[in-house]
Formats: sequence, structure tokens, C-alpha cells
Amino acid sequence: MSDPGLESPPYTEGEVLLSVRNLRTRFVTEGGDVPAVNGVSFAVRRGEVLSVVGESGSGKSVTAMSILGLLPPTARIEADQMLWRGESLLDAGEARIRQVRGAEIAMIFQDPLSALNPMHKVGRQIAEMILIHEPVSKKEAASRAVEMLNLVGIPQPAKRAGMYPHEFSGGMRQRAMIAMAIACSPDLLIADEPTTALDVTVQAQVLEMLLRLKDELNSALMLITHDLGVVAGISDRVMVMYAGRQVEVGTTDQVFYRTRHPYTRSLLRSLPRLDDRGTDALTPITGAPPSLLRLPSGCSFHPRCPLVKERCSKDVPDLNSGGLGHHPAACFYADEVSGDTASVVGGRS
Amino acid sequence: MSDEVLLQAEHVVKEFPVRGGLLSRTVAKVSAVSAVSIEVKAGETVGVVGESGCGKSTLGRVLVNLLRPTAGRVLFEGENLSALKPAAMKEKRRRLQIVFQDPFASLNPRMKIGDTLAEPLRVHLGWKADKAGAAVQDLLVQVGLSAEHANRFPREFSGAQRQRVGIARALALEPSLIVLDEPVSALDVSVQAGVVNLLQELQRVRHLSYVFLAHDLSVVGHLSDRVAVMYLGKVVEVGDRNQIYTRAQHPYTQSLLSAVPIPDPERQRSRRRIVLEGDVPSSVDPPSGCRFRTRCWKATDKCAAEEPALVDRGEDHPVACHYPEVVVALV
Repeated sequence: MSDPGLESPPYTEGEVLLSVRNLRTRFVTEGGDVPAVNGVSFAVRRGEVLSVVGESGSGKSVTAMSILGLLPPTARIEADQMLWRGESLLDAGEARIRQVRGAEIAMIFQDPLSALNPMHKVGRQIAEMILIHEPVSKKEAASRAVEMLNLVGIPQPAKRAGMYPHEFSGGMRQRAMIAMAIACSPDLLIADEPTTALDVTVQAQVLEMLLRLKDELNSALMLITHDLGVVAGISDRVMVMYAGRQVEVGTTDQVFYRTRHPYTRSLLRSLPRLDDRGTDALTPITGAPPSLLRLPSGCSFHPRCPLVKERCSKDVPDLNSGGLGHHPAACFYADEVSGDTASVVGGRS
Repeated sequence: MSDEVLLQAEHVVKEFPVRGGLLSRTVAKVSAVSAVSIEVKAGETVGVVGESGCGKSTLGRVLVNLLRPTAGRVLFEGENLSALKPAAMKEKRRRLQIVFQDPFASLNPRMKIGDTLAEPLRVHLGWKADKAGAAVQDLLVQVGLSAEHANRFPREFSGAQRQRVGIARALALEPSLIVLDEPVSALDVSVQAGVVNLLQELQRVRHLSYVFLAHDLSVVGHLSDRVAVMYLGKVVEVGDRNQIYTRAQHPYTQSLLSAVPIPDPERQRSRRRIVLEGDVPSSVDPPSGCRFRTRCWKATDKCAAEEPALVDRGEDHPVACHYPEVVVALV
């Protein structure tokens, strides 16, 4: 069977950096196995920004952590394929994974305070990263660290390198963490809710910087977020996740303007928008995201879906279920969704 | 909406001491709220927006008299709250309520939801268990939960359900004004809209006034009749919803609006962007003159020397800037 998650339109000539097929990650707990990621497939090409959107518990962070081997021992990771530039990460040893992690694939987390060591000066932490991965002297590493701080727009970088994380503001800490992540010029940057803890004016700075760095490093960016506004402004492609599964994958314009999954559509309709006139009631999604321990039968979204039919509680749709000739959507009735999306985004303002 | 002013804050100042040194002496003061005046009319929603540290939560607590203002006063139904005797304040409290941001921290985990909701009825109205119980069931239904929820504990509820309980608790004593401190920002996106709609519906049915404190300009714009923008403890601009969202004049309001992402790719590509430099300065040592000048692209020597007053230049749309000007295509 073909895997539509992998078959993204090759609008970019970029090399396929990462290709993941049928990733399944579960956590073993006393209450039973928690299927956090359930059959996810995707590819990331050099030069592109792929956004992974979902609410808490959708599996978007676990997907990224599974690739980097950053999950606790209770996690069981399986996949049909996980290729990093043609090399299988599933067969790679711990030493090789450590090499890839940081130097070739770098990760930026939501909370910079938990990712930075409070006991060490910021410059030293960045230099340490360089020393681990590259054969350079301590002095060279230290000056590279200052260079990195300068690159992420921290004023007086030489002075700041000698300061501790607590002396930085929230936005500056996030920038310091990004400096650390890009210190070894990674090919892929995975940013997990990088701006969620930041104020909106600082968020704008950081997003702009991530795009600039992606171009300067000739790398790719995988952005994990719950914020559809951020997604609209920054991504080339979007992958929407719900309860551990991919529900829709497409270019940004496809997902926003020719929406094919009821969850994506409901989410877009439920958002208050800055350009709203603010008079109409919002259209909420009924219910709440399901517990992964007690997933609904069939399509996980069916208890909340406005288009639900009999089949939805029986069969599990995959990205092929939406039919051919469109971008992939895991819904048996994807054609009914696209029927009236004109009123979702374009018609609101 | 009527013209009757329900709540009025006049030049409210709230300072907190910063302690340090060997004897924990006060070494500095943080001025969380500096001379803020706002007015809330019966039936209207006043949104207060600003980033973290701008003082909006402190202002909210001063408005409902959970914090005493260092200077200035808050008049509710014409009476100065900090001058009221405890018994009179208790009486006022029935009509002046607050809903907090974190629905996990604001409910007692050991109390059944029904008991949490009955408490204000017992304390303020002296109702006995059976009478309060019936009222509680009624309240639960009004906020979109069901009567059976009364026997459950907070841990059995989702975030959105807890926030509905928080709203029910605020409603129990039939208030005329509720301060909503970031009521939906802790909730998952797919359930925020339900809570926003509930707030609107309750306002319509009960003729409530709201003060809506939030950092999310999209939600504030959706709910508010008038909006005040705060930066480092000061109100920099006030106006009705459309004035602020379509004809903002303060550079900070403009940069804030331009930074809010809109979930519409084409709109995002065509909007004008103002990306500010740097972070919000510390409120322990705010910049001289205009507090926004360190991040403002228009700042001149005058801005460092002279603090701009919040001046209404006609139109009932006061702006605290020496160089106010409308910028188009921000939204």
C-alpha cells in the first residue's frame, strides 16, 4: 500500500533529509499501554518548513522525541522505516544516535529554563556542545559560542556569554537555546513549541529568526505547535495530528483553504481571529480530546465530529481514506468537508 | 449597555516592595500598576491586554479588592472599596467576582464540586444545604455541565470543565461584574471557543459586565466592547474595539497587533509586520519618560525626557504617545 504521508508534492528540489514510515510509539504503564503515536509517516526535505499541529496529547512532541531517542525507558518505539539522509536510525547504535542528535538534528524546546543548566555560564554551555561534536580547541569553541549568540541577535554577545541563564530574560534564554541548537550547523532543526512561553512581540522575533537561520544554514525546520496562526505564517507544509494519528497532510494553502478533515475544519472555525468583527458566536467543537488509554472505536474524532456517520465508529480511516486526487486526509467523507470550506477561512473577514 | 458607570478605577497605583540584603530591608519598589484609570459601564466588556509583566493581573486583583491600591481608588457602585468596612465589603463582594486563569489551582481538590459551589451561598446568604444544593444544580446546568457533576471531585474534570466550574462559582451570588483573568489561555484550542461562547451567553442573559484580562488579542477583540492596552504598568491606549483594532495610534498597540498570527496564510503573507527589538524592560527600573521608548522605532530625545500623558485628541480614544499616528494594514 502506498503511504500518502510520505508522498509530499516535491515542490522543493531539496534532498529528503528525514523519512519516517509507520512510526508507532507507546508507553508501557500500569494502566495499560498508551499508544502515543499510532502509524505516523512523513518526510522532511532540505529547505522546507514542516509544521506539526495538534493539541496536547495529539502525539506531536512524542513523534519528534521518538526520532531523536529522547524518550524515557517506558517508551516502546517501532517503525517500518526511519531514515536520516539514507541511513537507518533504527539500526544505528547509541554512539551514532548521539552524533546525529545535536550535530545533525538539533532540537529546541518550549521551556529554555529546563534545557539550560543553571549552574553554568551560557557561553560555556554552547561551547561544550561544539567541543562534543567537533575537533576544535576550547578557545575556538568559546569564540564560536560568542559568534552564535551574535547570530541569534543577543546584544553584547561577548559579555552575555559570561552570564548565567537566570540573568537572561525569557526571550533571551530562548535565543540562547537556539544558539546552542545551531552551534554545529545542523541539517534539521526540530522546534517544539519554541514560542509558546514567549510574549507575542518576542514570538514574532523568534519566528523570524528561525526562518532566517534555516535559510542561512541551508537546513530544514520541523515546527511543532498548537497555534494555527503561527503555522499559517511560517510553514510550507502542514501535518495535523489528533489522538496520536495523522489526520491531514498538505501544503499550507491546501490545509487552510481546501481543508479535507473535519477536525482541521472544526479547529479553524472555532478560533477567534484578530480580523474578526467580533459579533458572531464562535463554533466550538463539542466534547474534549479523548484519553489515549480509552480511544474511541473507529475514527478517534468521531464522537466530536459534526459529519459523523455509521461507518466512522467501526473502521479506522488512514490517510488513503480521503480518496485520490487530493492531498491526504484520514476521513471517509473528506469530499464532504471540502465541499464548503470556502466559508471557513476566506469568507470570515 | 447603559451609561451607568459600575466600576471606576481612578489613578490606581500598586507597588510591591523588593526585599534584599542581610536584613531583608526594602531595597526597591516594583510599580506593577502606575496611575491606571479605567471605567466599566453596566453590561459592557472592557478588555485589558498586554504582555507578561504589564500589570494586568495585579490590576484585576486591585479592581476586586483582593489587593489594596498603594494610591488612587476603586469605586464600585459609587463606593470606594478600600474605605469599606469588612461587613460592607462582604456585601459588595456578592456583586463583584473574579475568575482565575488556572482552573487546576483555583479549585480545592478535596472538596466536591457541589460543596465548592455551595460555599458562597452558605457564607453570604446563610442558605442551608438543601436550598443551596438545588441552586448548585441549577448553576451547573447554566454553565453547560450537568446536575450530577455536583458529587464529583475536581480531578474528575477536564480543564475546560473546571473553568466552567470557576465561572459557576463566580455566578453563584448573582454578581453584576466579573473580572476574568486569562479565563481561556490554559485551555486546549478545541475547547476554548465553548467557554468563550458561554461567557457571551451569560453576559446577554444576566446583563453582566466583564473586565477581561488577557494577552491574546484575538480573544479580547472577540469579546470586548472597549479595550485598554497596558505596557509596564501603564495604560498606553484606550478605545472602543474598532478604534483599537483598526485605527490604533500607539506604536506599542500597533506592534502588538502586527505580531498576533492570523490563521490565514494569505492574510499572513500580505500583512504589514512590525517586529520589535528586545524584550520588555524590568519594572523595577523602568525607562525614563515613555516606558516604551527603548523598543520604539519612533523614539526621540523628547520621549526619554518627558512622559507622554494619556490624552484624548477628540474621538474618545486616548493615547499616551508624543507622536500618535494611524498605521494601516496591520491586521
